[in-house]
Amino acid sequence: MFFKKQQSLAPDRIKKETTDDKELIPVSKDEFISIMKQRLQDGADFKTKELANGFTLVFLDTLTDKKMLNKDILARLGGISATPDEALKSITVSSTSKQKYIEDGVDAILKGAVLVHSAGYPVIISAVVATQENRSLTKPETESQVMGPQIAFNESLATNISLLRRFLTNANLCNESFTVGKQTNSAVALLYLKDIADEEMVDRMRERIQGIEIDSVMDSSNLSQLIEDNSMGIFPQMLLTERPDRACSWLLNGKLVVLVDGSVQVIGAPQSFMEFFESMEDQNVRWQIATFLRLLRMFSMVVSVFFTPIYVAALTFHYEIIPQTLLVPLGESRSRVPFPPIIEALLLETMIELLREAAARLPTKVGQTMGIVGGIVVGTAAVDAGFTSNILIIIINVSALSSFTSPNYMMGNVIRILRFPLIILAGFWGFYGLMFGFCFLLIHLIRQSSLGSPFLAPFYPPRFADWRDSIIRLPIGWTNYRPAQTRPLDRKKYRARKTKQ
Amino acid sequence: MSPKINKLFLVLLVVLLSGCADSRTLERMGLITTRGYDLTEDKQILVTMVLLQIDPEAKEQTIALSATADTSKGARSKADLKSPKKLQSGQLRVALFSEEVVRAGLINLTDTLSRDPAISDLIYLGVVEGSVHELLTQKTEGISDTSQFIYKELEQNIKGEKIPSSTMQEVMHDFYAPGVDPVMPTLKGGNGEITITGMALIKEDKMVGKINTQEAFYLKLINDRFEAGSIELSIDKSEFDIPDSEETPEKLTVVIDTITSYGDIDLINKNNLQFELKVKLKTRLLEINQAYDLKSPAKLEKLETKLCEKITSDLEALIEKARQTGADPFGFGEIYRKSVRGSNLTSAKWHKMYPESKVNVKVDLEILRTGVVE
Repeated sequence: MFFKKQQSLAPDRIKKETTDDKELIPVSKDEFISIMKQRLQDGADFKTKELANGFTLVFLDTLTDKKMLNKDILARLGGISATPDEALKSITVSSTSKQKYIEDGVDAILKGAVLVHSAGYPVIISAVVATQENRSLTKPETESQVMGPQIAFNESLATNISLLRRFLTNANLCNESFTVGKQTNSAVALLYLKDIADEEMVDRMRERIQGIEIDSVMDSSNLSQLIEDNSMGIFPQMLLTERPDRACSWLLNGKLVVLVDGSVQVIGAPQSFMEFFESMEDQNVRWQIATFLRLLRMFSMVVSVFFTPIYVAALTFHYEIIPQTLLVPLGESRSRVPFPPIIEALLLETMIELLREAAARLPTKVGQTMGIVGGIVVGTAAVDAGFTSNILIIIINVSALSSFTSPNYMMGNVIRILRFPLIILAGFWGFYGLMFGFCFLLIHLIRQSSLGSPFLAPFYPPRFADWRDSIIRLPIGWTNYRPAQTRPLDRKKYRARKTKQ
Repeated sequence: MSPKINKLFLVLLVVLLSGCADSRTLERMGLITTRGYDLTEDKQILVTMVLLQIDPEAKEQTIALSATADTSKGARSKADLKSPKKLQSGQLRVALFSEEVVRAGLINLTDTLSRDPAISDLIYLGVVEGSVHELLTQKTEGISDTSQFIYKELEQNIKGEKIPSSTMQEVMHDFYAPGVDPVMPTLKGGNGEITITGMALIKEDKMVGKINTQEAFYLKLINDRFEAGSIELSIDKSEFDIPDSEETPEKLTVVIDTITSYGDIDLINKNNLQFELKVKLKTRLLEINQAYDLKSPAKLEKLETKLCEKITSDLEALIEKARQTGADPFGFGEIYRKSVRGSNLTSAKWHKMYPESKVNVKVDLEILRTGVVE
């Protein structure tokens, strides 16, 4: 109900500025040039070229490919009569169109088109001869893995879509295009597989993208914050990837993929909490290993978030639970520390965060010294100086290490940050505080949704069949159903028996 | 203010006004690992507390504090006056009582231990022959930490199935359950050693007798299932055709190792209070002190029969001994209560009936393997 009302609003909003207040192309050559010049703020790269037979070419020098301009346009337009139809016939560029309005002409010129004006006609021809200023395709950096395809998306939307189309040679792959950002006019594409992806989810995503009113979208990570269900929450609800194979596996599971021009990462939705602890490599190794790795990552997340708070709680309030053999070394090392455990832990955690942040900001060559600074100064000297206990150093190191195991950078950041409020809770109220924090987090997670579907999906609501490929991964023959979370139109991937031969 | 801000304000108020919980930071606590109770001449309690010394420079690993008071908690607050750290019992592992204390009744002391939520229910209780204070304060070469030594010693022997387990939980259960009496290990110090000498038999909450470690093994045989314990048995060798000579020992002694054991008590006649105790043992022969042909099945069978007779008579003697004292550590009363409908058995009632009871012991011993012997 709520949903339909929104949908009817959406198309009006984009069609608002269409035909009414647009300016027609002037017939006169000089008037056309002066209007275009004025529209483009008399840019230094604004160039015009007047041909002897009455054509006038207008383009932005910086956006056009000189070779194509000479070969496919200039060379063809000589010696023919100066009418738009003749020009359209002669120009040997694949994407050409007729434009009636100045605004459309400006849009086209900003995308690298050459506008061909024929004196005496109120119609211009635009031919796209944009330069392809692209990085070549490289290996994935943030999601590198040993097995599987070694290719990552780059900044070009067209290249990214072509990569996806190459992985998924399927006519059902739908590609919808949007323009987001009042100032940047960034191209955004929504991809999904028809007959698998849920129509309602597609509608919802389309409506969210269209509903955005913002001046710029620089990256897909920006966009994902705008179209998420809960922008206030700490957990990301949509996942980014730079791997085309991962994006394809999402599409095949009935998820939607959103690409932003100029961004190397694509957005996938809906996602579940478990998806943040999965790596594409899990599909490429044998199931026993993949299961072990997934369980390890879950375990390390728990360790990373709760290990230090447990230390603080145990030392401040619950000395009863410490094993007796550990009491003496723990007590001796603590007896030299002048701070209560909460201050000690916060201090060391902050130091680790400082190191991490400093290492991330420094250039790679200088960054290597950070390890030495961290290892020697913070590690050894802090204990010698009686700043912290050496058991805490171990604990902090283990939890820092565990937070790196998360295959997803965004989730890794969340884990890093979550530790701090929990340490404070543990330092103030012991295990009661810790349990309060844990319950708060759990309730928060249960309340989250990703594109309207439950975020804690196979666990809550319980869908035991989907556990086969979430916290564990069973052999491929057993995981022949798409997850219920995406509500796919076609649940079955393949017949299980065929794969067991 | 919007309702959201109101809610936030409320939460903030709750957090700020409640403040932090009362903290007990580890290094500021005096951690009591062992407590000992003695009776002074004027009927007060002398409590000895062994603290874990958390100081890298200190020579001794532990400090023993003692105080005399009417109650155990009173003694602790008196001892607080002698300690730089607040005394806490959360790391208590062993509570020791002198024989005098246990003979006078120990329930008040164990009760306060079990009430304290900080104290684990799995601490070991023990009876010390002589003064606990002396035992805990004695300096023995080779034992750096007497309290840890006692704890490890008790733990090792209980896990190794030498003596029945006597954690506080079990003692308190046996005390409150009608028809069964608790037992506690007895310890003795001196000569640079701390020895487990046997078990104290307790009737209600008062110590009434003692059994030695061999008998403690039999007690465990009746009550529990064995998996690891081993025992040395000596039998008269006259019935075996072993050549008699000067050099060989007078008795035939074998060490058997229980693989599994199973004890079962049935009430066979409720009017005469007649019980039947069946013990099944599957064992392995570890050692024999004389030349004996173990390869012959007939001889092995004879050995089995003799061992059976030996164990039967030992068990009968143990039960008789316990009955003389009036303590029922075997739990015959529980079997009675279980078997007789509407018996409304109380502890006092059972202790009146118990001396009249009779027990038929049946032992079934099987030597499964002798291969360990040469």
